[in-house]
Amino acid sequence: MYKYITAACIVCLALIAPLSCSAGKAVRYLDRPIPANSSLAIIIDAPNKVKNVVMTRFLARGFTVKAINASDFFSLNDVFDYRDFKKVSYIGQDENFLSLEKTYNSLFKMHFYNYEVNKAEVLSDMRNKWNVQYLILLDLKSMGGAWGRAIDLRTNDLVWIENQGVSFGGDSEKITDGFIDSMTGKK
Amino acid sequence: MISRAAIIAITLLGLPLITARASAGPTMAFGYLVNESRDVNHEYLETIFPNSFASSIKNIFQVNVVKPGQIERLLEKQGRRLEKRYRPCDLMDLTDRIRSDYFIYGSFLTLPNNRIKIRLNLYSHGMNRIFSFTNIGRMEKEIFKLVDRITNIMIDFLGNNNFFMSRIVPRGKKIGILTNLEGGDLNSLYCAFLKGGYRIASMQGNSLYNTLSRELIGNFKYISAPENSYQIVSDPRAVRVLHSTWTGRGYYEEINYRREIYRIFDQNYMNEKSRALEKLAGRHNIDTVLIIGFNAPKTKAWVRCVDIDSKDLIWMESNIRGGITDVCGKILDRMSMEIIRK
Repeated sequence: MYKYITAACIVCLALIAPLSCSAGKAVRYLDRPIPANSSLAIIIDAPNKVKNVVMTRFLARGFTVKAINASDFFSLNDVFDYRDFKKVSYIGQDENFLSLEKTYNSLFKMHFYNYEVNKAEVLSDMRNKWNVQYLILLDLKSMGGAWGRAIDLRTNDLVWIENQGVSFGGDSEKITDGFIDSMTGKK
Repeated sequence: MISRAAIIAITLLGLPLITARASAGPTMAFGYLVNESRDVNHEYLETIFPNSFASSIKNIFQVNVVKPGQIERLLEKQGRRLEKRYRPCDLMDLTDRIRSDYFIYGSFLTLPNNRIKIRLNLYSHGMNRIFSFTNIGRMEKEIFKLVDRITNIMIDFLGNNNFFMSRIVPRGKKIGILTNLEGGDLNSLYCAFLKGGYRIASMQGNSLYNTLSRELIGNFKYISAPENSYQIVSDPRAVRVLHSTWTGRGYYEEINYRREIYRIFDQNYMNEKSRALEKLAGRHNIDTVLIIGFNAPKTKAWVRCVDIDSKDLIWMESNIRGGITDVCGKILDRMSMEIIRK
């Protein structure tokens, strides 16, 4: 019986693996090492205890960690719910439909472009008002494995990327240390 | 060349987007190409060009082509005539009248140094979409080369991959990517482009999560632009905002608000979008916006590429197959490799 369950699991994994192939693979890119004394803002979606562990590792390695108390920036849906427009628009007359399709399509795109502009303005404030040099985004609990990326706020360029690949049971401290080694060019 | 044409022809005829009116195959009707130059000596080209395009396409595809003269006769029976210029919103009615799946029309402008600029619009009745592009070539000696080149552009667009490319994006350029991937998948995509020699702006990468779902990114398939574009055709005449003596102040406020939405996001959208793109490009210092939409299992993608300087659509393609890494490899090859149309 156990053999059959194992075989079924292997078949399922074989079927699912190609679909999510890139998520589980280790990926790394470093444009230029991030100096150890840099000033960072770290965005991570995790319980406060885990956040503390992560921040402590960065502080212990000589980084200045700015107090950005956020799991993420505001989301697209927080700005305003553009879907309301679709609802409102379809209440209109049927013969408006041809115009509505383009109007809704354009409205969404404009909303999205402006959302990206707003985020860029927040990054600019981080750099100019709080003297943050790099924005670090970390996800330690992703299904496909922990990942991180760093943005140089002088240019808004992506300068470091890493997917650690699927690993079961890695602790937050070790994962964070691995990421720090990677972004500082020590790996 | 013949085998390529045969492959494209088979693909075209199998396309689901073609809702063939005639059982034999799709019907493509050709209107006039308006002479935008003030030189009357070139007026003969107004019909020569569409007739040449029609013959070229007919030589490659098993499609029914309808030339301007035939459309004139068809419309004459209905007490109408083939106009030289059409607004996109008139095309649904026109293609209904002439029972055509596609209507192709445009204009040309002679330029200094014996060159000619052709603008062509390809309207699909079934989808109510319009694809517009411009091409510049030499008159006289190369005029047939120009006709072939433009015919090839139309064939590529009508193919299964809806392919169009006006120029490449050289390595070293800074690009902003919009996609429906997030987390590790987004990292994989970024990594491929960074290793491919491009600089990547952080745009979506500055968030942990991506709210641009597969359905929402579909909105970016349509690009309004001055030269090359792919757009939904709207009909401003259909927008009826009824009012009379019975309407009160609140109602007027509401209809004014609604009129304003139509004005900004339908009639004036291209200018509004240009301003938004300028702001975005200024913040991230990008040269190009690349939009990549993946299907749910991430095995297929489509691409739209917009040049920030001209605000033009410079590349579009659908049905790029493979996993994320394969798709990125294909995109990188295509966007960095010069394709020369002789």
